[in-house]
Amino acid sequence: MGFGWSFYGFFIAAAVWLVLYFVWAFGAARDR
Amino acid sequence: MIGSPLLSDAPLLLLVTVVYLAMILGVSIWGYLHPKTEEEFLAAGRSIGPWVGGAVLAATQISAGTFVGTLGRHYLTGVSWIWIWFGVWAGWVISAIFVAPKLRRFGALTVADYVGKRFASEGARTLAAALIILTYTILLTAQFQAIGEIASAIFGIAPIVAMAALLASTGFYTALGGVRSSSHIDFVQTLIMVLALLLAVPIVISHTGGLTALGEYVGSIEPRVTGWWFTWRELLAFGAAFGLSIAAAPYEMTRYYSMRDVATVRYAIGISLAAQVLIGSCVMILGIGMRGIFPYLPSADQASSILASTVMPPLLGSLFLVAMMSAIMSTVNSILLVTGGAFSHDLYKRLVNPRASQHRLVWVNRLSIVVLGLVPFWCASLKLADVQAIVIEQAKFIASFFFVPVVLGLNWRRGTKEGAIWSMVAGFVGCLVWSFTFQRGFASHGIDSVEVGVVLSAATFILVSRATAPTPEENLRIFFDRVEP
Repeated sequence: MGFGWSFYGFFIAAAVWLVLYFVWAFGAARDR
Repeated sequence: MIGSPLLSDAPLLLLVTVVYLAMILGVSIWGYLHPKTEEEFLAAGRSIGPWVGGAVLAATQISAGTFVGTLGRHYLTGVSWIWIWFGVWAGWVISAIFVAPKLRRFGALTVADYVGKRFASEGARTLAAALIILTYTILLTAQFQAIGEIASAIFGIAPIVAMAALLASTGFYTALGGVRSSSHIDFVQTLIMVLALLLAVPIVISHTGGLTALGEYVGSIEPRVTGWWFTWRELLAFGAAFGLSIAAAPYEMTRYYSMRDVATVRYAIGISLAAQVLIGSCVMILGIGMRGIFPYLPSADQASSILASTVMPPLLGSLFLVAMMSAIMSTVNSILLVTGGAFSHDLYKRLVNPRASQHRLVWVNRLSIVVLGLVPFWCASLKLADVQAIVIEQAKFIASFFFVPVVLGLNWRRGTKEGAIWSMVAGFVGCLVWSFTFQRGFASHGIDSVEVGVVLSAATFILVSRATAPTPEENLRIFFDRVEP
């Protein structure tokens, strides 16, 4: 049995996490 | 180690190491030319930008634990340990939203400065400084132990020699240049770590016949390696422990003070998250790849040393070794900056010599960096636990005594000095007592010492604060009435 969701799912979740973080950070800077 | 490509080309390894150390020496001399005041030495004149700042935060967090312990953990247990990073990153997000902006606006020099000012209490400041020095001396011990183990595994030299070299190099550049040069050295060290890991991944994967073949092979040895070794509950608990400790980690919080402004701190945290995604992913693939190449190593902690010395070609092996040194040096550097600052700024200046000149304070700071760097030598020689265990234990203690006074303290006006002092005591003692009495391994009952410490600390903070007089308005205004710099 090869790599499954525990492996590929991590990369998807990490990419989503980073995108959401930077959207928030840029938004917070614009609200200033 | 017989048959090691790395050691068969010793001049190349020496050259890479010498170039690396020469770079560090050059930057630290440049930094030495700057510091004339405490603010320069401890906060780089508030000049650090988002890229260098992000690299600083990542380099500080990535330590011996990551290169040796985490890689070994993936070697042994496979993929699922990677998910605890989300706990770490949740801690960073809490810090970015609830901690970093207020701390940066405050713009002090040490973390204990925050405690002293927020709660209008020199007692709370002194207690925070003392607890930070104590727990960080333990964390430093883990880093010394790690360099000793790596050196003896790869070169067969006595651990004490490697420890002395670590203190001589890192202690020297930390004491010489302070935060300004340390930050630029951290930037280079993060680049080296990311580069070495990114280059190592294709080499290891090609050794195993490709990613799919690797997955199928290690999955056939033990199916949980490619699936879920840990349950969601276990991952959540480990992740929470790391997250709680990162949200209020003094060695990261101190660095916020050195950045240009609040927006810079937020971007720096984002850049550090991106670096951590890269580093965490590579470390996982390398750990599993090493399991595919050497399925039955006697100790999982040897996987990274054997990877550098045996699997990689000499040039990349040398680079990987320098990356491991960078991980350790950057963490030791950040710890020494915090403990040295806590001693000189929070203890010496407040309790011993309040009228000390700026010049004298900088030199006391330098001296305390060297002296506090010597203590872990003795501790490391005792070898009380393995590297990863020490790193995890100290993280639990930091979270137990500091998460509540920092995160609640910055966001709840009613918190008082008595609440802060007793919450630190309750968190520390709670974590200590639970660790040595009721806790017999995480899985046995599911309540970890960090959860006990943080809950006790929070309950004490709220109850004692409610029963005591509020903090003076002039102190609260600094943190709760938003005034942009």
